Amino acid sequence: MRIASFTMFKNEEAILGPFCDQLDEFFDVSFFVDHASVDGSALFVEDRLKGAQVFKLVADGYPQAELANIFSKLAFEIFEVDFLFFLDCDEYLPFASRSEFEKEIVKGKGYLNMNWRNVVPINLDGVDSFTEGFVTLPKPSKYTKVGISRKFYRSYPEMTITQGYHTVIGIPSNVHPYNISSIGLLHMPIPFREKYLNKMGASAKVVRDSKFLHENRLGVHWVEHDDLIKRRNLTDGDLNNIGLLYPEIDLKAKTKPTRLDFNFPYVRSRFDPGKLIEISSEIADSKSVSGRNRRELTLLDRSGNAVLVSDGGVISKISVENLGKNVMGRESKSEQAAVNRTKVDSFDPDEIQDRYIAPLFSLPRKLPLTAWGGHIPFLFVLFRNLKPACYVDLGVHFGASLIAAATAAQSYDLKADLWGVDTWEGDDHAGRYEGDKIHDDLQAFLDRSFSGVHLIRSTFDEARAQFEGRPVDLLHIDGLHTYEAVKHDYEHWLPVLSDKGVVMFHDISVRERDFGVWRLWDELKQKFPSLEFTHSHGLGVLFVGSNSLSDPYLRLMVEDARLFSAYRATVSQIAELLPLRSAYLATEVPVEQDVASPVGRTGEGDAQDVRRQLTDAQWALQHYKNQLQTIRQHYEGSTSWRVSAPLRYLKRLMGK
Amino acid sequence: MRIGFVGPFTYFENHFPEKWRTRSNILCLDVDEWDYSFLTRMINFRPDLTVFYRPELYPKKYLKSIPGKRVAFLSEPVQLVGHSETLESSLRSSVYERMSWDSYHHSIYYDGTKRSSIERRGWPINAYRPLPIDTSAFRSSAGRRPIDVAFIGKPTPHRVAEMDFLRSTDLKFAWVAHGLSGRALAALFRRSKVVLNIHADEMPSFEPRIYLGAACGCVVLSEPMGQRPEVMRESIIEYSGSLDYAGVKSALRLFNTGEPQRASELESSKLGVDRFLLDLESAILDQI
Repeated sequence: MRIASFTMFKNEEAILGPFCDQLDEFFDVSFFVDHASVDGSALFVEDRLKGAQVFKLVADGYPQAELANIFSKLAFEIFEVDFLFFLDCDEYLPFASRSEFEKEIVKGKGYLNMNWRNVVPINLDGVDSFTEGFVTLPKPSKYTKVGISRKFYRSYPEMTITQGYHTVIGIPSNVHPYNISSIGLLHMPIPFREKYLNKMGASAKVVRDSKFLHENRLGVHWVEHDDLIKRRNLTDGDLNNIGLLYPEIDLKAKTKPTRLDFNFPYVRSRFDPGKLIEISSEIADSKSVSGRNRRELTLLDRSGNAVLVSDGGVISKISVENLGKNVMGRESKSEQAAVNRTKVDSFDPDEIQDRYIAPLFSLPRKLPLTAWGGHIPFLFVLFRNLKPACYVDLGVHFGASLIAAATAAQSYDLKADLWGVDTWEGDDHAGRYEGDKIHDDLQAFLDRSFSGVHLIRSTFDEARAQFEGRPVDLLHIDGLHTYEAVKHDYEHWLPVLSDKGVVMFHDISVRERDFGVWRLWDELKQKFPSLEFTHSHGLGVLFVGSNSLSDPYLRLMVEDARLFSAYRATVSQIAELLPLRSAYLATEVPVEQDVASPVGRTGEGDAQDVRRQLTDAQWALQHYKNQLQTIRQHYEGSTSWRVSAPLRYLKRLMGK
Repeated sequence: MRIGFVGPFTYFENHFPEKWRTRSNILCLDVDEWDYSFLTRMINFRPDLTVFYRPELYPKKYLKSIPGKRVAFLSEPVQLVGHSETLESSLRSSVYERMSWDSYHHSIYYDGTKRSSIERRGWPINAYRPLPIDTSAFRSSAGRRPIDVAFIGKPTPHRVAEMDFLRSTDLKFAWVAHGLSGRALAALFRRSKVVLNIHADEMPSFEPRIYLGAACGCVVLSEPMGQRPEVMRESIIEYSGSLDYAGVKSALRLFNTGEPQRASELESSKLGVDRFLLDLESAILDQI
């Protein structure tokens, strides 16, 4: 008998250890769909489980039901498993062993279910949850989760698994599921305190940011939980109530929990709070497909190749066969990384912080309208460590990347020449515009604020002649985004790169319209060492020069995907704060008003306006403070651990 | 420890840390009153401590974004209680009234004689002390001093009335009205024997140029300062009434004794910026 599991996850690395123990015990094949995690979840399961098949999802919203049906097809038609169960990372089977599980699942007619039984750890700190045990309520929850057999799947070709895997529709009304356990599927809404707070915040943000989810009232319970967290400092008693009654909230309910009489014999690992990263879950992938049909989804393999595209209609067998081919026989990238890992003999945490973490908090002198803002923190890291003497920006427009580069050069006292090349006429992707004023304003700002920054108003090809004999250390290509255009730009400028040459490509995650940077990126990253960011439409950093990776820490990140994954999570998180921080500083309040309280010194109409502005600014400040507070606590060396996880993770890995 | 200083170079370069341009842990920024985004450079520098000269100038939002402890060093004169406000002193007071006091962790006023005045106004000043001096630039030297009398400051009716007679004497007199600071100013003082301190108006005040001149080994001949100097007292002569030829000649005779140069060598380091930073660090720690 072959049994498979299907799991969608997003930033769950902290709780994946015990979950994978379970998969080891009960399942032969485990399908995972990574919904844009920025922590090390994907690498963790790939390393941990030999049978893991991990895909990356690019989609608006949370197409859980569509994926459940696609993977049913894959599991039963290609992998030919006998049973498929749908589990989330916080759900555990109530059986002691595989044999016990097998005995139960063969009893039904292939349509199986279990009621959720919410359980809450007695110790909510995280590490000792499985050692100290759990409490639960006498009766299981009304919510159920299903599992199906191949026989059932074949008997009802019209069957569809619903969102949340709670039931199956499209089957005769007299077909009922068989409940395989009176205990129920053990569900831990609160694996540990910080995980709950973190997940609700991130999930609520997804719902708030998604018009589709919001309008369809999907995931509203996350918002309700998040609202509660923000309103109230939750005690252990509150958390018990929340966990036991989940998803309902009733802090005043008189629950009478009892100790759970099940000790998870198959769990050997512990939760790892150190791997919890505070991520607000908006990731660029979902942005990069904005405007698409909300039911459209793309599955990517680990190399970023699209292995299945769905427009929400029926998935053909050919598509699934193709998907099947792509999942067989892949070598483990992380194993490769382990073999190639660079040795760093003398590890200096202060140096890492100074060179790779602290620059991420830098601000540009100005942040114009841009889709590039999320990459500014890492641009500072590149300037801090590569110390380019010559930087060229191909595609300037309002100048966000050039201003950031100039600020970085100024901040690190680099005697660098920086060049921005653009026609200021636009293109088919950016749109056409009359750019005289944009160019002139930018020129004036650069002249007043920096030295050594030059604008060239011409095509990229025309400008290229000026760089003969002037080697370029850092090149940023952000012009027309078709495959042909970006390839031409890259090949045309490659000869003027220095032996330290590094090339940045923007929009490597965008696959809409005729954007083709991703295609070129897929080709180039096979040839050169690279780093790949997925947020803010994606940024590819290609190390083409023979001496471009002389820094051992940078080289280590390039070679060790897991290490870089943790770092990338940090970058993404800090990048998310940048627009708010910059916007707050850029608010055009006259100095006199900004220095002092303006209220009471103006006419009534003005006063109202000023009060409103002040309220907005105060809100922005408070929001920023709240987020920054968390980061600073760790960044500045406090003892708490949440956000410093990536840094400690870096230290741990680099220290090996 | 990373230390930042912010202030218009023209006036405050004299008060930045010794040899700061060659010290990677110190960043000094000039002020661009058209565009305060220059302060992002200080944000990116991540200082542990930043001293702001002219603290009344800076927008709160930038100040609060700069990490570390922020110290306001106020250096604009205010009128003594009981004296009638002039247009200029009234303007200065109103600027201070509107200053973002809560953006600073520690505030210093440069003139201890105004303590009562300031306390009456309710401004939260933590300490009173003169502006520190870049003693690597403002120091005595044994070189030639061809200028008998020097003055630095903008012309006002009072100053013109006080110093006009010097143009018709045998004394070599240099008056630089604007734009000289830092090493250039130190070079002027080191080539001068006597430095004058004449107030913009007739209000007693302990101006920064008093110690700058004395640190360069000059005799400083000053209108009433409102307080006794704390260091280099022998070099700093206060006169009452009007400045006259005899007074200047007397100051020149004092210079020729060599006492002012010796006083500078012995005492000017007490006014150094590095020394100030050490004091400041412990003062802020005490405050916490």
